[in-house]
Amino acid sequence: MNQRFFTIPILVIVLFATLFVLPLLQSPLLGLNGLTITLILILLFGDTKLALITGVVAGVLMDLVSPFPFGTCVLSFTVALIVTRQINQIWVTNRSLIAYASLSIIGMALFHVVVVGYSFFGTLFDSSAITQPMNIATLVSGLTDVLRGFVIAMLVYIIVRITGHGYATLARHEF
Amino acid sequence: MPGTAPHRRLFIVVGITVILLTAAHYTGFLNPVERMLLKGMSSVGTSTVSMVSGARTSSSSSKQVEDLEQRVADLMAENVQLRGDISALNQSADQQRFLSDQRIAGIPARIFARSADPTSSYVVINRGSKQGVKIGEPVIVGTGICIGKVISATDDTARVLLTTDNRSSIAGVSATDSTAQGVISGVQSLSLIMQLIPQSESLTIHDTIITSGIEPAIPRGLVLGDIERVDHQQGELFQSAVLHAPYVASNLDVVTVLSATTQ
Repeated sequence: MNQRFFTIPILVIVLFATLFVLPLLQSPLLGLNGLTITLILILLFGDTKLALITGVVAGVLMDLVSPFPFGTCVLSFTVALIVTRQINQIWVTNRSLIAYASLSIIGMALFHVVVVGYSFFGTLFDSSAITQPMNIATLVSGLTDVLRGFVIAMLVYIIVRITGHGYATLARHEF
Repeated sequence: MPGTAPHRRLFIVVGITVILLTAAHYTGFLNPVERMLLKGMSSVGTSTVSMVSGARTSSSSSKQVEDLEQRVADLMAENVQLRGDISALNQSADQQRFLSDQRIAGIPARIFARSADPTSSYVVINRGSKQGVKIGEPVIVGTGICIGKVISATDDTARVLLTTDNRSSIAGVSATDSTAQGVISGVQSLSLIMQLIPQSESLTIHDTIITSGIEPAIPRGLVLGDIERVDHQQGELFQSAVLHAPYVASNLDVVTVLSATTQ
């Protein structure tokens, strides 16, 4: 069966939750960046096209309601996905658990680095926007988010393993 | 490398699309599309907030919920939706009562999106410049509790930076001693800190801090918080105080933007 049959509904649910539901919840669910890790995992499992297109659409929707300069989310998703994909194609080419775990961490970290960097320079174009401060709180929040993304990635790895396919098998086939 | 070349074109197309979208936003070409998207998101967001606050109200009276559960599923869903609306109306009525008492003009609004990032505290409301919302205007809940200031506004929406955000700053004063003035800003999206208070002023725990009224768009008397702790250090020019924010960001639903023009 076409894997997009599962991934597209998951993406829609995660996008809706990220925009409207998760911000209403209390810690530790508040601030859960489910969308970024979902996009990275879809990319790692081989559907680059779907991950990138959803990244752009989701980025625009998130930018419309975000106080950061317009383009912060869309650019962060795009850069994180493209760079992760290139690392996966050029350097970390094997399909081991370590490669999978490191790529999900790299993708999440890249997303946060671009958010901080772009929101800093983006205020040159958009004076009403605010920047993501470069301080310990941002660093801790970013690291927590990367860790949560890593935990989700590991859970997905286990689920995929239990269902009998395994990451290595699925990731070899572009769909 | 296999797989790299076929995606090179996709990467270029996506890259160009991102650049064009960003350029179209800043040049204003994207405005009609953005308005349409925000309108759609606003209605979806307010319905979601309504459902969640309705569910919260319901959970506080579990016996009532048990009775309701015996009824048909359609009626239950409708009930939850109505509870959300009633809760919103009650909040709105409180705010309107406060406004008419204080003779201040206000624009009622509902929150439809908010920060998912724990390092920033902001909300997006469904009223914008078309309805008279202006940058810098304060936003309140209940009977004059100031939750933040408008930082940007589109035609039909506005972003409000909450007082608990690190980047927020509002001039405040003690409700009991008008000489004890300072600047209130957020701490890690959780509490508030009042700084630049002259050492000569005496502050006591549980004192209420209100807006001082020295900022043009913010009237005096809006509640900012109450003092939890006073940090008084010898040899320093100023003292500071940690305040308790009188609202929970995730529970906010109906708010009022205070208009600069008084009735």
